[in-house]
Formats: sequence, structure tokens, C-alpha cells
Amino acid sequence: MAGYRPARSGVLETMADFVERRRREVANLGRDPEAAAHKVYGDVVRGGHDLVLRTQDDVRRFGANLISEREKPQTRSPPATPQVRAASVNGRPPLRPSPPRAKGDWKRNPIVKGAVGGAAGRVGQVAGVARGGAHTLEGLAQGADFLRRLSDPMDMLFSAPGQSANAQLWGAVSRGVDHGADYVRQAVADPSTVGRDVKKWTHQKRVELDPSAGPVAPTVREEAWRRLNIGMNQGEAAFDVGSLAVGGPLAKGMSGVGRISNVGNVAKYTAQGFSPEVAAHLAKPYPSKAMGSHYAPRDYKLPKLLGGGPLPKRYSDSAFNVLAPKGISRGDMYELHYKVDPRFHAARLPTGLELRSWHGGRLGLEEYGHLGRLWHGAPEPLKARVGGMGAAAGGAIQDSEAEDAVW
Amino acid sequence: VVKLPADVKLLVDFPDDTEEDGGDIVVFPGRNIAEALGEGFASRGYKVDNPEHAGEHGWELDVHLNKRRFWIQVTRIDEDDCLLQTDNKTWRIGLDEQATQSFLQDLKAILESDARFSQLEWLSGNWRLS
Repeated sequence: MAGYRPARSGVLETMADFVERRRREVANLGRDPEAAAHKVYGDVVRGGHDLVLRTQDDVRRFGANLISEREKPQTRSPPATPQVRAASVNGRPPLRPSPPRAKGDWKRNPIVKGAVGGAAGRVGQVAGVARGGAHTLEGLAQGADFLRRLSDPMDMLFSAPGQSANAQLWGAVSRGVDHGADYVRQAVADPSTVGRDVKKWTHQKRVELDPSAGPVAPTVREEAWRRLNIGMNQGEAAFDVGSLAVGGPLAKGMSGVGRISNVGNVAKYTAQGFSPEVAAHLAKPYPSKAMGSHYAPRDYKLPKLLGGGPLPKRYSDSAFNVLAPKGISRGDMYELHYKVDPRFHAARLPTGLELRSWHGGRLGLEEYGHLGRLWHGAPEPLKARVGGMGAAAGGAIQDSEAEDAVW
Repeated sequence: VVKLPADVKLLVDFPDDTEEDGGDIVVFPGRNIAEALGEGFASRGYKVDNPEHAGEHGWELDVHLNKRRFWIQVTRIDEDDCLLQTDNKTWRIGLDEQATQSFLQDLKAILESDARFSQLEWLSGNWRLS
């Protein structure tokens, strides 16, 4: 599907240019908080020394000793060291916990480590959501427009009844057709369920996602990095769980939902002026091996800086990119294709029929406008998946803003 | 030089290379036309990719010149009528009008120099076939 839309500068840009620009914006959304976090924590922990505290108990014990020492007015002796000795790592002897020094001790203080680590985790969660979005949009680049519509109040005003992004999303949720629909509704209504479900993941995922599942890093700096990475894993996981929660079940269930099949409805096509033979051909099911209409065009090629070449076939020819609804007739598929793809005008018909081609213009069909092409040209699984992305992003941002995030 | 639009409707005199199986079209026509266009562009210094089948759209051909990629879609509507749609698919900032026009002038020259193509009707604006 090709088309032109005004860029922010007002200059017309191609769909491919638009996709590239949105991809860059999303990618920067992930990098900027990450870069900001690195700078903040670099400033905070610069000059710290190694301290071996391998478990949370070590940290608590060491912190308790620090506090108790501070509370003794005349005491100048160094605080107690942790009771647990760390084993050597990679053949290198473990570093003994060094006593805090008068200047810069707070930079190695386990309490500071905990606070810095927690803050780093929250920054990481937001960055992770953006990273998840960037990863998903690598494959679903053109779906970004749907996210924009979801957040655009004018979309509801200017869209036909039931056609706004919000209406379509909620319509999709309310039409959920399997047991996943309940979860979908719950996830959209209460996004914190996404965070809670992350906790139910496997042990391996827990190590990646739960700070308490792995050892505390020896230094504040390393702990900040560890928690930042875990936070980003959490954010991306929330994104994925949320988008799968909404997109997964509906992606399976939505194909063909809400579409009246005209397979076998020869009368519809004879009423359009086709002969009975041609009408019978058009009333047959659209072949499963046929190419359908590609949302991201087949001729789309990545820029060289992204490796060049076409989109991966597993995405390009997937249900997320190919519009060919199940149960649709040939005639209806041609009509749909004509309306959503300005590059499709006519389809050749087999020999033996007196008509050599199906011709959308001769039927007086009207093609959709730009937004209509974006929406109606999108395969149902893509619509459902993009709806999930919006729900997950909203949920993760709410959680990251809460002081006691549900992680 | 008259500015050329990106799409052209024309008559073609090529064998119908549609492939069918049991009353279904499995390969849509236009490969031979795409190959003829590719030969024309190759003779003008373009690097030409192999034509690719594009289902109901027909066939697609990419030709390259000066780090630019130009896309041509060949849709054979019936025995004689054919539609060529083109686009400058180069990743770029802003318009690349000069290179696009140069490519279209080359296309025009190729079509006009081959007797198998005739009655060129360049389609401008928001056209639809009627």
C-alpha cells in the first residue's frame, strides 16, 4: 500500500518515509531515558570502591551496622564487615568489604545502593516500555499511526461513528471470542494486572525481572546498572505481555469476525452486472495461496543503515501484514483490495470467462482516504496487536509513576 | 522538457504469459513485459533486478541508477491493455524530482523505441482507471 501524507514540516512524505520517521522517534524514546539515567548514576557513583556484599542479608546487616555505629556518639571504630565471605569469581579473589572512609562513604553505602537501585529500576521500566515498543515496531512499523490515533482526541471527532481508533479498540475488546477476552478486558481496565502477571513468569524470567532473585552487585555503580537493566527488562516484558494479552487472543479470534461472507452469494455479483459465470467465479472463496493485500508493501526495502533489503518474509507474509480475511469471496477481496490499495486497479480473470479482468473503476467503487486505508487496510491481527501495545504502554507508565510499583 | 507523471497506460503486443491451474490463475501475466523493460533499462546503464511476481498486481521490477531505486509495477489488464506504475523508492530526505524525471524520461524512451508498446497515455493527478 502506498500513499502520501504531510510530514510535520508540511512537506508530503511517502508512507515509507513516514514509517522511517516514526521508527526513529520511537527508537529515540528508548535511548533518551537510558542516556539520562546513565548520566545521573555516573555522577552519583563516580569514585566508589568495590565492596563485596553478595546477598540482601549482607546488605541489610552491613547497613544495620553502619546505622548503629552512627548512633554511637563517641565511637570512631569502623563498622562491622559482612559475615558472609564471597567466593572467588572467575578465578579472581573476592574483594573484602573495605571500611567506609570519611569522604564518599555514602557512595558505597548499601542504603544508598538500595535507593539508587530502586530509582534506576523505575527509570529502566519506562525505558523498557519504549524499548519494547521499538522492538515491536520494527516489525509493525506502520501500526504506529494507530497509536497516534489512540492518543489523538481529534480522531474521535473526525472519524465516522465506530471508526475512531478508540472505538475500534474497545469494539475489538468487547468482541473477544475466546477465554482470553476476559483477561483482555481485565488488562485494559486494570493495567496493573500486566505487572502482576510478569511475576508469574518462569524462574529464569524471574532472575531477569526480579531484583531480589539475584545477588546485589558489589558497588553502588554496578547495582545501579543491574537495577536499570532489570527495570528495562520489566518494562519490555510488560509491553510484550500487554500486547500479547490483547493482541494474542484477538489475533486468533478476530480473523473474519464482523465480516459477512459473500462466498456463494452469486446474486451479489450478478447485481453488479457480471454474467452468471463470472459472478460464480467471484463468489468462490478467495484462494488461501493467493497473495492478498500487503499492509507494509512487498517492495518496501529497509535503508542501508538498517541493513538494507526487504522486510523479513516471516513478517511480510504473516497474518499481521497480509490482508486476506478468512471466508472472504474473491469478489469481496478484490473490492477490499481496490479500496485500500491505490496501486491495485484490476485483477486478471482466468481464461474461459468472457470477461478478461475484474475492474474496480468500472464498478464505481470509491477508494478509502488515507486514514481509511490505514485502518481498513490493516489485517485484523495487526489491529488487535496494536491495540494491545497501547494498553500495555499505558499500564507500564502508570506503574512506573507509582511509588510502590507492582513488580 | 515536459514533466512526466509516474504512471502510464498503454497497449502492449506481448504473448499472454498467464499460468493457470484448474481454473485459477497461479501466475499473473506481465513477466515478459517486465523483462523487456529491464533489458531497456540495462542498455541505459541501470542495474536491473529480476522481476518479482506480485499476485493480482502483476509483476514488479526494481532498477537502480546512481544509488537510487526505481520501482515499476506491470499490470496486464487484458489482452492489449497494460498499466505501468512507477515510484522512486530511494530512501531520501525531501523530493528527488530531478532523478525521478530522468528515470521517467528513460522509461518513455524505452517504450517509444519498442514497437511492442504503443498508445502511451500518461496518467496524472489522482487518476483511477474507468
